[in-house]
Amino acid sequence: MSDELARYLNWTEIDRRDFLKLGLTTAGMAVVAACGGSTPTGPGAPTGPEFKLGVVLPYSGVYAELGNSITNGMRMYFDSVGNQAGNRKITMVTADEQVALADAVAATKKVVEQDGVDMVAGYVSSPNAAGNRDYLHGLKMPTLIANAGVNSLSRAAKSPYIYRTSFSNWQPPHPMGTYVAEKLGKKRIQLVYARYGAGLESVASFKETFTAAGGTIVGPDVATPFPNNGDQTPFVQAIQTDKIDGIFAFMSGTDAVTFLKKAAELGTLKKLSLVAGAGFFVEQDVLAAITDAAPDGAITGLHWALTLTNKENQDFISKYSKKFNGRQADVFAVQGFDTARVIVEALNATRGITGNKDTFMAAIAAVSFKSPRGEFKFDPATNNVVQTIYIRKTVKDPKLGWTNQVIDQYPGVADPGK
Amino acid sequence: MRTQASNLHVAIGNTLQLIVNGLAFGGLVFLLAAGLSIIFGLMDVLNLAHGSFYMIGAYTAYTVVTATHNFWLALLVAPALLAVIGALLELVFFRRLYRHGHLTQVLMTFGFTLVFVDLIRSRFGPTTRSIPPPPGLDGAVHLLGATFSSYSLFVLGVAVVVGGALVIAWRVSRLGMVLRAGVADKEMTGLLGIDLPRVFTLTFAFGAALAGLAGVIAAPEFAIYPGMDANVLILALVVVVIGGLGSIEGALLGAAVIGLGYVVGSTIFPQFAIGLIFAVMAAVLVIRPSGLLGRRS
Repeated sequence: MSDELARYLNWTEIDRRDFLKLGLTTAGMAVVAACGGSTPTGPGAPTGPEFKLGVVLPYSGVYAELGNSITNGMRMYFDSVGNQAGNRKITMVTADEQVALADAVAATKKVVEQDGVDMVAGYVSSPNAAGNRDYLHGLKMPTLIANAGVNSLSRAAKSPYIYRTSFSNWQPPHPMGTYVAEKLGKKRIQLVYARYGAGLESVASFKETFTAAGGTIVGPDVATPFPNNGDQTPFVQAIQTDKIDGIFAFMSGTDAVTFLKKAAELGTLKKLSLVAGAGFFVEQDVLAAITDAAPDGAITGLHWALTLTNKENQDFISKYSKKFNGRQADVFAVQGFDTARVIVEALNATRGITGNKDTFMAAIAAVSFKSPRGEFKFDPATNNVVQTIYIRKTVKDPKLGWTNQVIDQYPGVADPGK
Repeated sequence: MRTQASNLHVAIGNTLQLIVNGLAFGGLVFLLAAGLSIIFGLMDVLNLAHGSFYMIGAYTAYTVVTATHNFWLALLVAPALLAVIGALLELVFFRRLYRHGHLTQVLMTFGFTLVFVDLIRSRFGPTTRSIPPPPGLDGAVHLLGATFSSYSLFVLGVAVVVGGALVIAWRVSRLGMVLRAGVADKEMTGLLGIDLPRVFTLTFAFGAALAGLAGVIAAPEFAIYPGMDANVLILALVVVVIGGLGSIEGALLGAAVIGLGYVVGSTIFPQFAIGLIFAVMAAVLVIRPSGLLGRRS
C-alpha cells in the first residue's frame, strides 16, 4: 500500500516526453474542438502512475511461435485503447520464459523483483505456470495465465490471485467425447497422444464423456515421447486401422506436423472413418506447415476457429493480419488479445487503483465481454475462463487454404474444478 | 493351417517393417555422425556446431523447394553451400583451436550453435516449416505384407550408398589413407610430408557437406524449425560414442544400433524409447569404453 502511495505522490514527476505528448494531445483536442468536431474526444494522456505489466512468455525455443502470437495479440489490444486504462499508462515489460522451468522462474523474478511490475501475465508451458504459482501466490501478485492449460491451476492449485484466460486442458476435448459417440455414432476409438501433461489430461477428458456416452476405447494407446525428435513411423503404424472407427488425438506444433505427414504418406488416416482430436492437432500453425498432407474432414474441438463469423472475430483477424504484415491470426493471438482486454477492463473498473489486491482481483473476476472466440467470462469457482467449445471440421477453403470450419458448438463449457 | 501361415506372414511383415524403419532412421543419423566422428578422430575437435550444419541444410532445402519445387536441386545446393561454410569456419576459427583443450572448443562450438540458431530465427522466424517429399516418393509401398513409407526406403537407400562409398573411400582411397593415418598419429603423419592443415580444411568441409546432405534428406521427414539441430546432434553424439571415435564403420554400426533400438523401443515400450538408446550407450561404454569399433587405448 505504501508503495502505491509513493507512486501517487510522484504524479507530478512527468518526464519531458510525456509532457510534450500531453501538450500535443491537448493542442490536438483544442483543434478538434475549434473545428466543431462532434466526435467524442478520446481520453487525454493518463496522469496516474505507470502500470507495469510483466509479460513472461517464450521468445526462444520450441514455443517461441506461441509467445510471439500471444504478445502480438496483447499489443494489438493495448494499442487499440492507446496503451492506457484507468488513467494509467500501460507498459509491457517482457521476459523470455524459454522452455525449462529454471528459466521461467528467473524470468518471473526478473520482472517482479527488478522491474517492479504491478501484474504478471503469460506462461505458455504448464510446468512453468505451475512452477511459478507458489511464488506469485505468495506475493499476492495479480496474474493472468495466457496459455498453460494444466487442470490443477483451476483445481487444487488455484489461487485467488491467478486467473486463466486461455483454457484448462479438460475443456476443449470434453464435448468431443459426447459429439463423437452420439452425434457421429463412432463407438470404437483409439487414443493417440504425446505423453506429457497436456496430452494425458486431454485424452482423459475425452475418455470421460466418450465412455459415458457408450463408446469404447480400443487399446493399446499410441503414446509418443514428448517432444518426439525421432521417427513417427512406428507410432503411426501402431494405429489399428482395421479394429477401430477412428482416433482421438492430442498433439500440437512440431509433433502434430511430423505425425500427420507420416500418417499421410503411409495412407493410415485415409483408412479411418474418423480422425478426431483436440483442436491443436490441426490448428492453423500445423495446417500451414503440412498443407496438402492435412487430414481432410478431421473433427476437432477448440475454443476458437479462424472461420468464426461473429463480428468480433472478423474484425480481429483482419486487423491482426494488417498490423502484423499479413500474418494469419491464431488461437494464441486471441488468448493474448483477451488477456490484455481483461487487464484494461479491470483497470477501468477500479479507476487505475491496484494497490488493494483483493479489490483489483474482484474487478478482474467481474470482467466479461464478447471476445473473438464468443462470450468470455470467468468462473468464480475455478478462476478459469468459461467459454464456447467449437466443433470444427478440417477443410480446404478456396480463400483461406486449409482451415477449420465450425459445424457445431457447446456454449458455456466450464472446468469442473475437481 | 491357413491362419497359422498368415499369422507368420504378418509377423514377418511386422518385423521387416521395424527393421526397415529402424535402419532408415539410423541411416539419417549416420550421415550426421560420420562427419562428426571423422572430425573428432582426426582433429580432436568436438564440433557441437555440426548440428547447425544439418539445420542450415534443412533450411536450404526449404528455401530451394519453396522457390523451385525441385527437391533434387536442393540435394545438390545444400552440400555445396555447407562445404563452403565449413571450409571458411575451419580456416578462420577452428584452426586456432587445435592447440587448446576441449573446454575451449566446446565453448566456441557451442557459441556457434547459438549464433546459427539466431541467424536462422531472424531470417525465417520461429515458425515450424515443412516440405513435402519429392513427387514419386510421397506414398507408401506394400511389400511382403508390410507397408513402408517410400521416402523412408529412399533415406535408407541414400544412407547405404553414402555409407558404402565412405567405407570404400576410407579403406582404399589415398585421402582415406591419409585420414586414417592422421587419426592414428597426427605428428607422424605431418612428418611424412602430408599437408595436414589442407587435409583438415578439406575434411571439415566434407563433414559439413555431409551434415548439409543429412539436413536436406531430413527436411521432408521431420519438421524444420530453429533448434531442430540440438535433438539430432545428441543422437549423433551417441552414435559416435557407441561406434568409436574416428571410425566410419563404427559410425555405420552405431547408427544401425541406435536406429533399430529407437524404433524397436518405440514399438514395444514407447515410454522408454529414448531411455533405451542411452542404456545401450551406457552398456557399450562399460564393456568397450572406446566404442564398438574404436581403437583400444
